[in-house]
Amino acid sequence: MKTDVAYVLSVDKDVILEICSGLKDKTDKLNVVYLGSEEELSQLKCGANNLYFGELGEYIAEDYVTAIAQKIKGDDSALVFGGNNVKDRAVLAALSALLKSNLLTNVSSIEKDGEELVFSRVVYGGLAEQKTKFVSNYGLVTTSPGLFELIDLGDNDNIEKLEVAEKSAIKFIEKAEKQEKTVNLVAAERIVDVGRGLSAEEDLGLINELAAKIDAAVACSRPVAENDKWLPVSNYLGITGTTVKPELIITVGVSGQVQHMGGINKSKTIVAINKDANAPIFEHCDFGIVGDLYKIVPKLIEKL
Amino acid sequence: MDIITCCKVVRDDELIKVNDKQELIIDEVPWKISAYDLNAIEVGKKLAEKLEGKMQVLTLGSPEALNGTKIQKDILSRGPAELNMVVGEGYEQLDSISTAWYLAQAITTFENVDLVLCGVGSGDFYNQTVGTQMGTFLNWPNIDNVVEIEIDESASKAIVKRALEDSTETYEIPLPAVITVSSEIIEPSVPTMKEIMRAGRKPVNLLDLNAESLEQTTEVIEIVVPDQTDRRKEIIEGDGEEEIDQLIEFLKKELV
Ligand SMILES: Cc1cc2nc3c(=O)[nH]c(=O)nc-3n(C[C@H](O)[C@H](O)[C@H](O)COP(=O)(O)OP(=O)(O)OC[C@H]3O[C@@H](n4cnc5c(N)ncnc54)[C@H](O)[C@@H]3O)c2cc1C
Repeated sequence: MKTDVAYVLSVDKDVILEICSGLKDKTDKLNVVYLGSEEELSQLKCGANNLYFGELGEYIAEDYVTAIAQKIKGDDSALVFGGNNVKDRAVLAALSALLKSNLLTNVSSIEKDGEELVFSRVVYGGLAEQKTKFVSNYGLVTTSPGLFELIDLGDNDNIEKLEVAEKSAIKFIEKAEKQEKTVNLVAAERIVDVGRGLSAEEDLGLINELAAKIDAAVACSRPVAENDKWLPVSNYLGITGTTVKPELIITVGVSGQVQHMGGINKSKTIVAINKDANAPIFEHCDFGIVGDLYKIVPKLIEKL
Repeated sequence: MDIITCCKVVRDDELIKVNDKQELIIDEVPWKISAYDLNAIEVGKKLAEKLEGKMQVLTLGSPEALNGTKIQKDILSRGPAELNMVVGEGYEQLDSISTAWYLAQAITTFENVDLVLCGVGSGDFYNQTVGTQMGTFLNWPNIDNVVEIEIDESASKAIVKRALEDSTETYEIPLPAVITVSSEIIEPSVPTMKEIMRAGRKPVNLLDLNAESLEQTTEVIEIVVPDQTDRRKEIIEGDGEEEIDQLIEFLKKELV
């Protein structure tokens, strides 16, 4: 991978370290834009030519967009990278409009084709991958987490504080941390994956009991988290959620739409419990039982 | 209070299939309203009701996608007073920056707009950036991933909650603005018989933008279908003692 000038921008220092690792020795000039707190700055050894720092607190990330665009326009051409978190994506989207260049989000691989870089991202709910290249002076990309391996990067040549050029019209009022337990689904060897087939929140007790019995983590489909709000959003699996690859996953009342399967199809063994024989999940499982989860799950708890 | 909800019409993702040459079979697939734009339309409908305002839908797409009365009626049965369309060959394939560019120009053709709403991402490409890009082109305040909207009586500002990965932040945002809503914000309702009947009588406007086009900045090289994992597909029917025991047998082997 080769690009003359690269910018790596994030509100998350870990994202910066990861992307800089991927770009090391592959770009002539590496510029980093970190939007965050001054205390974290000392941990940002990213081997950059320039580290631009915009302090958050009195200002929000959006306040720096104009100033960052001016910096980037100082180079005739550049690739701008960021993480695929909500804030990075929004800042890069605003920059892409100011630079009149496209932003490719959630890029899952970057390959080299001759002198050109080819970016892949998942489309059509996970059915396909679109391979795209930039044909302009500027290109913007947010990368999926974990795309690059971390390496030691060394000190930065130059650190410069960013000044706000044009304050955003939106005003920050307050922040509330989410009060939820996060589970590490990516590392789980066994998962019980619950879908909308569950009729009530109380019935999660049944799912938790099964999971405890076989030492599994509990995950869900997107609507169970987003619409029912029965489990944290960080627990849903799929192309827009978490991708897992356990030894065993038991889906319970999950229809198996392509967007969900995209998050679980790397599992070694997929077991499906669903009362609809025509549910797509039965096309994508190793063992499937067509039946009522309310009859099956209690028996599993009893007999396993 | 004048609200415009942007909505994309996409191929029905549940009906796109892969043939044995690992190619997508997509050309004959029917069109539908992109799933998460239904949430945005519902928010627009509810806000318009509450504030005694008017909500319209703006959509951009190819003639093939938009010229059918079925899809037009489907959109109109979900609350908008009018449907406004920007139609161009291949428009549903436009990249997000060009989509935002045309939508921003379309917004400026309306006499009065207080709020533009977008869904979190389209069902086909799910780039999640059009609202922010459009807002930036318009030079309007904008924010995304919003899970709650409160608008003051005079329609001069909104207080919004925005969901981040590990927290929720509250912002004040002056109107007119572009707000992209998360699909968490509300569940779309099913149109009533009355709404479906009335949909056919609502205006459908074709917008003639005369817009300068934006220089193409990305080029799609190819779309590839990744290999699928082969699965054993042992399926048994029934939830009696015998079938459940077979499942338990299978699981016990997997659990060692
Ligand atoms: C752009 C986009 C991105 C998306 N990303 C994701 C994603 O990342 N992850 C995700 O999960 N979804 C995603 N979705 C949503 C996805 O398309 C499906 O809507 C969703 O996965 C369906 O969830 P489900 O299987 O729980 O619910 P449903 O599809 O409603 O299925 C419920 C199933 O339960 C079965 N059932 C009901 N009662 C019982 C019973 N008593 N016993 C046994 N079975 C029963 C039914 O037969 C049915 O098959 C996305 C959608 C879009 C448009």
